[in-house]
Amino acid sequence: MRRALGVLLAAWLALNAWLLAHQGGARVREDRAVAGEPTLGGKHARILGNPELLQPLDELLRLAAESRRRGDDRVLLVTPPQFGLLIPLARHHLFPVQVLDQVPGERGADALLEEARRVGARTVLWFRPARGWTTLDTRSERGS
Amino acid sequence: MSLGDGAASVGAVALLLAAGMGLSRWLRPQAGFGPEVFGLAFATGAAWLASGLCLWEAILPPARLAVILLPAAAAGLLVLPSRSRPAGPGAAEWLGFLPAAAVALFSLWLAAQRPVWNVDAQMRWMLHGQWLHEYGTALPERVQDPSWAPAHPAYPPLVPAVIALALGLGSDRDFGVRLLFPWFLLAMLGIVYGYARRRAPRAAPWLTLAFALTPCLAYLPRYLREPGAPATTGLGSDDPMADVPLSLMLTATSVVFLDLLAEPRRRTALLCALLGAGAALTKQEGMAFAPLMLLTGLVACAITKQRERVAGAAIAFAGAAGAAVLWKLLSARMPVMPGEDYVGAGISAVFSHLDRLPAVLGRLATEMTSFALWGPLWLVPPLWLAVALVRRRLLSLPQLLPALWLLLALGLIVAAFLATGWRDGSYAWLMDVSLTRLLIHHAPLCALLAAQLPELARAQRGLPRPVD
Repeated sequence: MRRALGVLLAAWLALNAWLLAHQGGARVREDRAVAGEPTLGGKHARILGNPELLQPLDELLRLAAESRRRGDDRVLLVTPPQFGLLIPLARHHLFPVQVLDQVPGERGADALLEEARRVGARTVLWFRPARGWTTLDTRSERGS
Repeated sequence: MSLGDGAASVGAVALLLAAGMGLSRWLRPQAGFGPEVFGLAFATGAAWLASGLCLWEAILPPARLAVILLPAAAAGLLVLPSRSRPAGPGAAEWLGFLPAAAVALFSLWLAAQRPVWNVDAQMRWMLHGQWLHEYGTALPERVQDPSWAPAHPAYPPLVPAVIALALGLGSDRDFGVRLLFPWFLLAMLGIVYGYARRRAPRAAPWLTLAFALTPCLAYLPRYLREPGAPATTGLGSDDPMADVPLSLMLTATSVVFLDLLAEPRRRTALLCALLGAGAALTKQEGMAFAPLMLLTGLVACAITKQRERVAGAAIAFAGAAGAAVLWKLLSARMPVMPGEDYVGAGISAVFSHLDRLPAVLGRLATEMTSFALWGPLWLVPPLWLAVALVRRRLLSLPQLLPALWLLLALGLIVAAFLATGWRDGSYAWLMDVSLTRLLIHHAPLCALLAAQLPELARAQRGLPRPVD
């Protein structure tokens, strides 16, 4: 029986080694490509498998740094549902700024500013796929 | 990633290790510094950090330095005179462990390639680590607001404390923190290797390597993109998540409890209590499972009338249960997402959704037979069961307990999916995103069972059973 157990252990090892060669090899190629991206946004875009997100992600990271520098307490992040993946990234990079997320629906800038005031957010970060990011400030009521 | 980020994470690991070594001088003097001693020291250091932080939260005001002071204080015990046994094998043990250690090294390389990318890491564990670093408390008043509920502020503090320790030592919030996590895998493999060496010395290096190469544990990423709202979930030891850390803490608790059965000493019981507390403070699943597994051990000792072991088992159980209760009390004011209050939902939630049982069991079977994720790991328990049924009269309690714990774990997992109210009861979706990770917590028990097989086979040939 011990010999049979030895054979089973060898088979276990061989199968896992084969899986490593295939799946692990793919992971290595994938991660080297991620590491090769020059910007953080580029790395995330590659991980998410969507190169078109490179610019929006880089821009989000820049806006996050700005918001932290400004000392915002809360921001309202407005994205269409299909871009929900921006929310966890924003929460991670904006901290200690709190990110409250909402979908825009049919609302325009005024309605979003009103909503931001209601939830106590100073800034609205509004992402529209066709137009990129817009920043709205509840104090100046002017977007950028 | 800068050199400073790498240095900060190495500093955090070294501090946890030194803390664990310092405590081990008092709790579990060991010969040499083999992989198992390393693994237990790292687990002990992490458990001390989490438990100490909990007590700090209960007694003292918030302090940003707490996460550095706690391990530093325990590391200070290293200057006390050593009670260690005479130096034993260390280097020789590492030689056999090298193949498995190489897998952890591979995981470390993978961790260095990516930023923090997966949803749970970004929205929960990293966020908690950042606020612990920022506010000096794992439970800041600010996050009591219901709008913080998606960040799950009531999650236990071990992983955030380790992250905050690295941040406190100068790590960035991205690459530097990721480098911490493969060490949990290395420590867990060290403990598995130590157990296997005692049970099956010749097979131990290969058995540990085979286990280490389990794809979802060591290197497999996981992408699940929801229709309309893409999401990504990570997997494995290179992600800053609590799953492999919980796996380490449960493995350490299990192995030290089995040691306690072999040699019932008060200090071993205290170490088991600390590790059990660490497991309870790593993840919500640990809060439920660590006390229950130690209670199972306690009841088993009582039933088999091993009176000298009952007291030690009771101490170990009290450590895990006490930590779970203390954290529940401390975090009681934190908001909880609708449908995710499993304790509040009660046992009735399990029985009111029994119609889910066939689907849940089917999905569990599919998962366990996914070689791409697990290799043949989950074939070990049926194999062990087959051998055990043949040799049942020869089974001792330390041999039986890992199997009982595995059964208990699978029962709890099934019960959780029956009871869940996550996203209006979308249990199938929840299984897709979480089942693999839940099984990672208990996967090392399969390796412990595999390590027992040669001695069960030896017993069949009429050789004497090893003394437990």
